[in-house]
Amino acid sequence: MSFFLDANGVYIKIVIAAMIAFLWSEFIGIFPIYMDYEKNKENVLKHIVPIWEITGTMIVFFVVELELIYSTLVPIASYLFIPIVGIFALLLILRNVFIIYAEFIWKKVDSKPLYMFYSAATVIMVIGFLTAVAALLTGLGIHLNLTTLSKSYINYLPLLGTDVYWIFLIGALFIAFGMSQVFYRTVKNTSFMPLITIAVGLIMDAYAYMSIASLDKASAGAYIILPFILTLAIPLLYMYKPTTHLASYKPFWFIMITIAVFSLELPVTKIAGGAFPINAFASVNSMQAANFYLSIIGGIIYILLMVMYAYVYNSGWLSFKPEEGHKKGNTSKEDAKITKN
Amino acid sequence: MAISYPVWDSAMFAYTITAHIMLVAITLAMALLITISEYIALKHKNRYYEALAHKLSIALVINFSVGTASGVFMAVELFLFWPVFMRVVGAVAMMSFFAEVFAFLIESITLMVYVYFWNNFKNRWNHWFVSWGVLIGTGASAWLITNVNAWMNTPTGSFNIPYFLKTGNIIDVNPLKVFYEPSTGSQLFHMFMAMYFAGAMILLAYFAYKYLKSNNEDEKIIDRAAMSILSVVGIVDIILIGISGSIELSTLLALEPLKYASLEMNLTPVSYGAPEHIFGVLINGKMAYYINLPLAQSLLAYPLTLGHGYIPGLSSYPSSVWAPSIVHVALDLMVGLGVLMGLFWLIFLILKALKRNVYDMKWILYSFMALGFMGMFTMEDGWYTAEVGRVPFIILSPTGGPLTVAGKTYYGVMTIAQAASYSPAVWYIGIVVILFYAILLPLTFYFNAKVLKLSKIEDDLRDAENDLGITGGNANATAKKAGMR
Repeated sequence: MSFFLDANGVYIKIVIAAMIAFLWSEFIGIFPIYMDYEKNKENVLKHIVPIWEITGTMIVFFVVELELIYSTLVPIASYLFIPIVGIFALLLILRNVFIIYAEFIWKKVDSKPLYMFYSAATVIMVIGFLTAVAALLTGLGIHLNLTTLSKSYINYLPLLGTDVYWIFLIGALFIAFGMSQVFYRTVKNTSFMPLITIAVGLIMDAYAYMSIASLDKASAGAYIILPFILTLAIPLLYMYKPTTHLASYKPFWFIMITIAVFSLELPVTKIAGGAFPINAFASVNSMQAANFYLSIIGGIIYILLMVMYAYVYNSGWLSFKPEEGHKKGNTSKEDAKITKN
Repeated sequence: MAISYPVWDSAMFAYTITAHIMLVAITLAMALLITISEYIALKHKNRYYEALAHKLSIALVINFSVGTASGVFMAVELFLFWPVFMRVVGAVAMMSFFAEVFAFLIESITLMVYVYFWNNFKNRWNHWFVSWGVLIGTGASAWLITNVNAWMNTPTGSFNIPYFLKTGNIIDVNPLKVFYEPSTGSQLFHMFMAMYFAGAMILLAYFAYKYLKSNNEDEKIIDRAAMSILSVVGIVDIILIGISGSIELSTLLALEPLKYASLEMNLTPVSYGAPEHIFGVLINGKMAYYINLPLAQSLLAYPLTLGHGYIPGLSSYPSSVWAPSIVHVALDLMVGLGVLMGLFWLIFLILKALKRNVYDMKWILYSFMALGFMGMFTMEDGWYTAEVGRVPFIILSPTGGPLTVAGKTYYGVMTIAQAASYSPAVWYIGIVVILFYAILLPLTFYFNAKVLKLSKIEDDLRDAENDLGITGGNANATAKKAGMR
């Protein structure tokens, strides 16, 4: 269609990728929290506590962008996804409430159950999100009644009955587990565990992606290569001593994951098993143009804010030298431990 | 089913927004109080104001986190409960919502930096500067959301409405019109004043309560510092509320005559001599239980022409498009309470002019507590007045009057019944929503209050001294300098 629609299509994919990176970084925190809360809480919460609010903002960002760019999709999506989106929203509120109560309120009470609940809510949200995405892309179980939209619904059983869905989900869990070890530095850098789990997860998810994304195998394969390399690079860099800190350096990790997810999204232009091109639901061109220009302004604001955030986070230090930065800035016990290893 | 889908959807959304705007009002006022407190703290090296800013910032995070999540829920609720309406908003008025996301980003990122990295600033003024991000972000979020409401009231020129009414398709979209609809300015002005006032009065009530209960002198000084700032906010704001309310009613008179007639419960249009009806209801098309003030409405609406001017009446419209007559009571209640609160602040000012120590007068402190309830109630009541006054429409007519398209007369672009969701899932989600906010809101307010007195006051003041780089002796001296008595 128009340049603006195409550009906005790319933009919303970047927003989705960034949202997933934020949500993912919180999601992978569940492994250290559940495995050894006392040992890992400081390291995990150091990351989660300042950013969980930004994750919520990214979710709003995505919802608004979706409604703006593909406005005619709204009534259909509303009726189809009403139960899952309702649960998602409630969990989001509960999760926010529990993390904030855990942090500030009950200092004398053990905050562990609150963080556990926060983690559990985040897990369900992520699984729900992945399930909804899988349903939307494959079209499995979607019963669409365009004459009477209120009769439309999704039966999730056909989706849950396919092996691809479970491969996709288990693969994602494998990747998450490996990533958590790197991101939160819960294993020594000599360990092969992150590399193995991430590699297994990648193989499973690559297979699932080929089936879910409604693409021919050659195209899907081409788009998988970059995310494959980027995702594998993270545990590999972690194992190589001079780049160990770089691999778990948060901004670096976010950029890598955002690019990887974005690459997977890029070729997806159709939904419901390829039945509908997404652009068929687009808003009018003037709205697309306005969205495009405001996105540029907003994007600049966002980047400046994140630069400020990184600057203050590192106590006034901004150059791309993670190890030196940690020595100069907020040095944690975990950093020292990993460096020794 | 006794309750229809549109009524259920409306009730659920009204319930959600009632809860949500309470949080928003408090958040707005907190952000303002923090910025002012920290400014005074830095300017006068005052540890009490610094401690106040720090404590409030933590309470603000709690409020903000619940408010944000509730805001997300509202965005989702709009999407789920009002699918047809959101299709039009998405195609026509979404730019304001989209811009709001960036305001929201400014708010959330600066708040995180402000609170969590409090000690990472070598130059404390830079830290204060970050508080402006929170203040601007919260304000801009409220502004950009209200834009959409103003568009719903006067959707002029944002798309081809006759074509939409005829075909259901949207063409000729001006995506930026949502930012400057004819009712935008007056609505924003009144909304902002009312929100800041309601939030400030709730905080004032809390500090007055704490002041009455506390035996710790340091804590009392902090409470008094907060009350001093909030009193100034209250006095300035109540004046602006009066001005903005008058402008808002004049705007309604000119742009939304149907809503105006419902709010004032004018049965017939007149060009002179419209009385003001105080309270009253419509029974079988006739007014009952009201006090009549002859000429008052005309004089208030057209003071320059001594009451000569057109006052719209409901008889010009079919009764099917009249708003429920309860909106008139809601309007009178809002105005009455506003006047009452204005009178209180007038007495307060007189007492201050007489050099009376107002914060040691118990009745003043009890009145502050009553103001907290009244301010919030009046804001909510005003919101109902504005929203129920639009019933049965969700998007009003751009002309303010009837619009004839293909031989058919329309009084609004979209009715609530057309906009609502008819999915059976809304019943279950609605019940969860009711329970959810009924538990969440009291808990949030309770914890907000709790977190403000969680730490030891001595520790807070010591931290404040460290932040400001001052000693205890200097701190006491500067406290007096900054107006702490």
